[in-house]
Amino acid sequence: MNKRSRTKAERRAVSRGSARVLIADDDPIVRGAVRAVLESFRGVKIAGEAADGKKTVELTVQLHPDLLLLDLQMPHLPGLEALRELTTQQIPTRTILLCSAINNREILEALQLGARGILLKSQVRDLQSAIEAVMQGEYWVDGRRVANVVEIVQQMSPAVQPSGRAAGRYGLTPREMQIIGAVTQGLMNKDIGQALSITEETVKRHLTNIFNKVGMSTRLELALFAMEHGLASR
Amino acid sequence: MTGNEDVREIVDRKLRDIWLQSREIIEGRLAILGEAVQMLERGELTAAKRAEAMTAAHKLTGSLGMFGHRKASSIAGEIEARLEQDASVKDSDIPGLVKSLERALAGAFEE
Repeated sequence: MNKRSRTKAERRAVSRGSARVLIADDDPIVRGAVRAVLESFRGVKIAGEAADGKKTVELTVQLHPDLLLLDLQMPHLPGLEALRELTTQQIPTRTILLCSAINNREILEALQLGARGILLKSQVRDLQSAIEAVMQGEYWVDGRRVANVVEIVQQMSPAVQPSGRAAGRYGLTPREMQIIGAVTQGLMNKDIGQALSITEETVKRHLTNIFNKVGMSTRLELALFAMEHGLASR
Repeated sequence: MTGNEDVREIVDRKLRDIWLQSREIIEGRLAILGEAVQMLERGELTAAKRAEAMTAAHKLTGSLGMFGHRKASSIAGEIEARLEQDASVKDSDIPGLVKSLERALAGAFEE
């Protein structure tokens, strides 16, 4: 891993040589099983356990774990709502949703809220690989390590066609619409520049303008927004 | 972290141990579903019992899947979905599904 690209959470975990994990699930059997599984992994420590959504937020804020394993359906505050609340805090905790079942809409919402991994409980044997991927700055979705999450988002989003009306609503130029389409396809700035015969710097400048116009700040947010609002097609 | 193959063996062994230790809780959840079916058949399923049965079905869905009982987990998920549809015609499927769940778990605690 490129040391310069490491986030605060990664740097902390790497410097300690271990990742501290908070387990959030209302079922004591699941918590016990996850705890036992985690104890099998070298370099992973249990930071705590929470049995409902409110306690999950409280403990995450208090303990700043490197990783949160979060169930979707929990009393007091559902998992996605807990995640939404955590996005308002400046906490370098990464989240993997560990759930019984999840639909595409929930996956997209979770990614939008900053989740880094989605793992079904029936796939708990992949937990080590999922943790490794997420702690190395990648994503774990659909049973595999994913570097470019926008690709996954594109596969899961319902088919839509970009519309001129949507572009007009946000004051986007035809060139900006092309760039949004390319971002939504998972292309990086360099590739977009080559495809459109413009420099990487120009792509960056366009992206800054696009972010300002639609009120987004990351490529993932932009891709999700674009597909949701008819600014890009699958 | 240790080698993936070794870890998978350890994880499997630990999950098996926890599954065996969880027998009482799992059977308790099945009993709640059984009680709900009896009340349903008498036309006396209360909102509180429905909610309790729904929670039991939900927890069974997650825990059974985690321990590798995928078919049973899927049946529990169907029971949960039907219980969630407040007193709908789908209630008629619930007794059969609970029986299927019990059958799917028959012998699951034998070592």
